[in-house]
Amino acid sequence: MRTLWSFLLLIALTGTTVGQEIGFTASVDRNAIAAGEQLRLTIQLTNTRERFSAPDMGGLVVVAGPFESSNFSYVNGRMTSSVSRTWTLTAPQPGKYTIGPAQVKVGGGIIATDPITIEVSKGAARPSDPYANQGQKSDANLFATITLSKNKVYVGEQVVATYTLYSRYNNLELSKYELPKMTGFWAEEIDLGDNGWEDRPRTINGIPYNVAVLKKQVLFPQKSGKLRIEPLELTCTVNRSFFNRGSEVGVKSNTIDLQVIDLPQPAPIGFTGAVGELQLTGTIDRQQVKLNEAFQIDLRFAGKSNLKLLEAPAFDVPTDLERYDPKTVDKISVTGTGMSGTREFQYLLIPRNEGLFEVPALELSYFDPATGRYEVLRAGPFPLEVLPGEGGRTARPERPAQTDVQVLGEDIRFIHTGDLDLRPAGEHLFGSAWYWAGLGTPALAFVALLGWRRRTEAQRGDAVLMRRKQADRVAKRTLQDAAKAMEAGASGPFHDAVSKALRGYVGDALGLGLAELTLDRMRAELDRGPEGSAIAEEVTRILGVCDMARFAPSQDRPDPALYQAALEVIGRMERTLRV
Amino acid sequence: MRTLSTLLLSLVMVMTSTASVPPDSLNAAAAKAYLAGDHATALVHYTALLEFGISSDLYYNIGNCHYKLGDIAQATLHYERALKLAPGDEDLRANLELARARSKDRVNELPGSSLLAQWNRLAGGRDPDHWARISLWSVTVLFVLLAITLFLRATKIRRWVRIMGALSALLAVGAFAMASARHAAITDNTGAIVMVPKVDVRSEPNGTSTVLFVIHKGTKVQVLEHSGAWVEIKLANGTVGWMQEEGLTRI
Repeated sequence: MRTLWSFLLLIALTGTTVGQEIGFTASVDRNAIAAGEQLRLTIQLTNTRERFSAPDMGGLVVVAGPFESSNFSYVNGRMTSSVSRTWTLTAPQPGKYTIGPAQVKVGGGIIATDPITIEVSKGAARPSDPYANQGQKSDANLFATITLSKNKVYVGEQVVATYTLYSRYNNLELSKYELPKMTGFWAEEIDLGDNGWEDRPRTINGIPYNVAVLKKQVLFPQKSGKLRIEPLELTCTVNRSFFNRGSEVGVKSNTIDLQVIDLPQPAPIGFTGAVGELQLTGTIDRQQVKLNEAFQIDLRFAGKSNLKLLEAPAFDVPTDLERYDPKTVDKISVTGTGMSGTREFQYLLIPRNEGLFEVPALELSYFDPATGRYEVLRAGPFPLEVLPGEGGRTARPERPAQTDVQVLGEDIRFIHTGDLDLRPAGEHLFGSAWYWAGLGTPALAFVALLGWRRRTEAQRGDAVLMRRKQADRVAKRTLQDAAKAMEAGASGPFHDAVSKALRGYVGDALGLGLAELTLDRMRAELDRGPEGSAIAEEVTRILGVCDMARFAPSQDRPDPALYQAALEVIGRMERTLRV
Repeated sequence: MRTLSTLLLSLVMVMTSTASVPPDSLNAAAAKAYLAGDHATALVHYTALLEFGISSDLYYNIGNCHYKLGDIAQATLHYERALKLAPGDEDLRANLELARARSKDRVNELPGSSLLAQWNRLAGGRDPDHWARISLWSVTVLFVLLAITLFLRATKIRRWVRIMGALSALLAVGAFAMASARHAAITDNTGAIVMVPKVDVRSEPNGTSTVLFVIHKGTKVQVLEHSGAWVEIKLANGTVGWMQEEGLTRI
């Protein structure tokens, strides 16, 4: 009992006399906050137990407090005591706030703390949750919300959905939760790392809540119209402890409608389907390349868009370059602000022919929701020189791989546009009167020509020609008389006839008159033709024999040999004199 | 249906106006319409041109219009008509082949008929009066040569003229034979195209006999014999049967 008293005495003594230095300080945990955030103000009084008043908060709102705590320490014979009071403050509006000095009377004087300046910035750090009020109304202790970063987007434009749980329970376990089914979206999870309760409670209508962001997703709407996101439903077990099984509470969040606008039509040729902000860089790794050596063209898309849905663009290369399927290299990150990064398509190409080539420029486009227009992306053209390869040329002749001409389509040939050359139906040249006339006319004309020729010759009285033409016939007729005389055995008429035939023939054939028909003249005329002398000899001989027989009838009988000789010489003359 | 009615309407218009429109401008208008893709109008113009006469080119163009409008049977009919006049037309053969390929029945031709077609192609050319004209010319040349021999005295030249005369006489005989064969082919109207969607071909010329086979629109047949409203037909593969004549249009 005595010791207790002495202890109390000791305390009383220290309270008044032992305290050496009196301290009075005000501090905040941070000087800069965003609107709606909270800060803690602590005022500590050391080594005295005077009461002090709250300072002027300068417009900051007291969320909680003051909480008072006192502390004693006894170190190396020195005793220290302190009292501190703590307030939780918040600033509803951005601006500059000053926490005024706190004062305390100690002894005869007044000690004051220094004023503290607080910078309050716009509430960007933590978006306000428009659905929190609604959620709070349904259950003031526990509710959940879904928020979207935008309420009106284009098809394909990204929007971030945040699922948040607000709780006033100290002890809460999520036992079951089901994410809403998404129809019409392509969703990509955002990695939140260690997600748990946020450090600082959020105050909704003056009530502080522990807040946990359960999940964040980047959503890409795939169709236009009003897309509804169904509520998030979860079941929590609260107030569970060693002694208490706790109780289950169901939570259902708000639904949310997203207005999705169609992209303007028609989309340009080369539209990649990308919506957002995009840049394209095309690079070729070499300007000169050897035959059959690979080179690479990279198409790099960078920006904030639905990059993971981007496909390798169709990309024409000259036929002498062999192109392989592109390799896709992604550096894409999905964060709270959406999907961004780069996607690179690496095309491997191998030239199969020498020469100067140009891989044509590529023109693509994407849709920029900020401007509401399609923007054009360009890459290339990529000029390229293909040099002869090494060694390969001499070892074997380079020959381009031949392919058949490909038939791409089948259609009838074009109409004949020239003159149609129409003729009446059923009318044919063959078998027509004109045809027979055309066939018969030349024949008739020929016959007419023959007749005309005869007539004109006769009219002209071309006696020489007529005699010449008829010489053979006349001579043969006369010789027939000779043959009759020979059969009758009449020597005189026989030789007469032979002589007459021969003389007549020569006269007719040579166009000589009877008076001119002397032996000498005949010889002279006949000598001009081929074998002339032989014929002239023969004619002279036969005529001589005939004359002998006529004027000196020694031979009684006609000589068949003479007849034959006359026939023969006429035949020879007919052949030779004819021109 | 709409194309049909416009076709009829413009047909009426063209019919009333053919008297005043010269065939050349009609042809140009048809070609222009065809080029612009308005095959119905082109068809109307070309059909109007039939008033002025026929030619293989005109039938070919009409066939093309029908083909483009999707009427393969009519296209085949007109191509076949053109083929009779110009068996040597390459474009025509190509288009007819396409039209045949698009019609429903595939009829394999008898062996040897392709050789005959080849001969027709070589002998027929594009001008139906080709051989008739050649025969006329060669006869004329023959008699001119004969006339020349009448006045020629020089033996050597006369021999050459005689040889040429003999050749032209041979040519005249051959050309006459060819012309007569072509004339027979052109005036032959036994060929016909099936113009109804489906025809049962029977063993006898009555509706109760056995159905031998079925042919469809666009198939070419050869008419052999008549018996009332029935005709005996023969396909290119040699199959023979009877069908009613109303389903056929003569080439």
